[in-house]
Amino acid sequence: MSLVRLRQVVKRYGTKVSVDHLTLNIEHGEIFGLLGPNGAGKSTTINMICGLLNSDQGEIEVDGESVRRHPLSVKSKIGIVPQEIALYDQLTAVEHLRFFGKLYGLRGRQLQERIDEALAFVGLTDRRNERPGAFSGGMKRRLNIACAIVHQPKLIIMDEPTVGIDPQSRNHILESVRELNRRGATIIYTSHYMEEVEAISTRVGIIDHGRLIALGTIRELLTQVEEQEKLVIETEGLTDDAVEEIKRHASVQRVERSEGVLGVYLRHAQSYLQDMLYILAKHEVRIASLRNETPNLETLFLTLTGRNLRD
Amino acid sequence: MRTIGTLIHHELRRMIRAKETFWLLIFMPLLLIFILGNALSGFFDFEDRRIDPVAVGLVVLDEASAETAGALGSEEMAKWLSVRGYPDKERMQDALENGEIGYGVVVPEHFAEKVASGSEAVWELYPGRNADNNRMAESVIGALLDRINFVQSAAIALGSPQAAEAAAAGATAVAGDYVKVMSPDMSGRDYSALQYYAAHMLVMFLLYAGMAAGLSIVEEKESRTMDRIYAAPVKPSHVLAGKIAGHGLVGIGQTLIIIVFTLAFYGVEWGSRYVQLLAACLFTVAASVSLAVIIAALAPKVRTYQMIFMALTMGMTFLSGGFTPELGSFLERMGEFTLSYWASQNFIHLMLGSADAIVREHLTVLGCASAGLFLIAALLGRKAVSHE
Repeated sequence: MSLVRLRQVVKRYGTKVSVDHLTLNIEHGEIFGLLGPNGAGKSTTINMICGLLNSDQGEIEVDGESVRRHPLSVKSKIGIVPQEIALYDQLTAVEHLRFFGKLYGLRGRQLQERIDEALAFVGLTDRRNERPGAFSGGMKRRLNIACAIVHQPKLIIMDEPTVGIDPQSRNHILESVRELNRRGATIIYTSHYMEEVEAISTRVGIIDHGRLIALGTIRELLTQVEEQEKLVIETEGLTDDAVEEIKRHASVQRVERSEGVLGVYLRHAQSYLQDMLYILAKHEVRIASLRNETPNLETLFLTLTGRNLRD
Repeated sequence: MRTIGTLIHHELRRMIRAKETFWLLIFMPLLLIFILGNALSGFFDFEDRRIDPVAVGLVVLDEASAETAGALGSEEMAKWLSVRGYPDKERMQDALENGEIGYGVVVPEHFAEKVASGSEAVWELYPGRNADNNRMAESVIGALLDRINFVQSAAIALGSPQAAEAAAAGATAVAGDYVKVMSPDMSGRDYSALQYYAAHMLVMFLLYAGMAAGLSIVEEKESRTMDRIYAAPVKPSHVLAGKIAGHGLVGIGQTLIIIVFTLAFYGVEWGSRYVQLLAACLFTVAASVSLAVIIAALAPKVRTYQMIFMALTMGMTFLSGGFTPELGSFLERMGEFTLSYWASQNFIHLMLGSADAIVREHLTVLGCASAGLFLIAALLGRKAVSHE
């Protein structure tokens, strides 16, 4: 049985529909990537899963229990890493974990062991008695994660946990996600950074305007756009005529032009590379550099919605 | 209960760790009591206030009333009135105009006869330029006229001048001071400026302590730590109870420190009725945290909350006389509708050792206000701690 089940879930804010008849199953042991642009309904969806928001319609179950009917039981099985760094300036790292551990019913030796494990997991053992004010952005994010895993939940929901941090901390967090999953936790990971989702997810759902527009493994999803490659050509002396002729080529699906940089979306780029170079040479356009970008989730999102993920 | 205990402990630790807690809730009230209590002590120094007698010009046109009118110049009246006789009305008016006298009285012809027969009889009163002198003179002369009116009423009721005279003798026997100065608690004791401001500042900073509960709620909502708490298996009622109890305990601790410190170092006597004192403290704390929850339900943003919080606390303290005791009758009347007024009056009456009935009355009003606010807070509490 699925760990998380959503059936025709709807959430409205006034007249705006934030989540629109969403149906979704998330299996035990998955790292499920929930991808979508800002305002797509990702945060609303996960807030409903962990009982922070009530749905207007539909049913949500976690580990076979209805979120609406058994909210406290469901909450005890979930750890949520919020998008914002939600920490107290007055408390040290260890006091944060003690407080949240107690809220989840941990006491005594068990609590102390879980605190030690959580601090070790996020690499803050040495900084356990310091307050967040003394931490870097990345360390705050890690403490944010530790607060969510201190009770060792079955399901960990991470809502854009890498926003605004340096690449090193980001890698640390992504590696932590994999490790938590290896230890048996199911992860729901939301992001609008498709590279992250591609890197860690076993399955991905793409959400836009509150609707699930694609669902599957990365491989399954990319087969929908495998023929779409992108040639990025930096040019000198690019002319309108050259661009128009490239657009007319049978294999070209779309052309983006920004100053002298040309982005050409086409099927089987390798086969038609010669043609592109020939057209540019014919119009006396010099080529400064050229690279071929393979399709990814960004391409898929663009194909499905006509918009970029980061719009 | 364990969850509520965890939340109370959490709240207390956060408050104790915050530097501003000590400065705002403990140091500031003690400092303000000291500064205001010493700087404004002149307002309360009844011993030093002297009232000069008012110079009253007296014209007696009815010989039969000479004895009655002469009462104005008696030794008993000398504290309040200094009477100078004038042969006629015109000279008295000239003296009044020149400022030689502050007030004028004319006893008209046949006055005594009219009094004895029960027909209309009045003294002509001439106010001077100084309103205070006029009030003083009218108060004293009014008391004397009351006695005359009593005789007149007796004459009408009893039907004979002899009976009226007998009644007059009785009235004279029971008459006491014409003007009496009493302290506000009616107990006959005065309070010092330090006592006055100790009571008012305690109330103001208890309101701060209680209202910090609301601020804590609103801040946690804004910083999203409230979401984090609700992501755990915690009910809204737990959060509300934790906030109220945590800040209520801080308020009680703050009260104890202020009372003990002002007693030990400023010599402020808080009275010996400890149960009533504790009750007044508890009612004030309960009312302030309830008010905090109500505001938190209505003002979900920190800045809005702080604005309302400050305006309400300062406004109530001002209207209750917490900054200056002389506000004027309109503002004083307004002050009676504030929580601060009833709370501070409770403490002042306890300090002065006022009658039990007075203390009970003030405690009842404060208790009712506290219960009413608590009820509203209970109804709005869920909205206040809601995170959606």
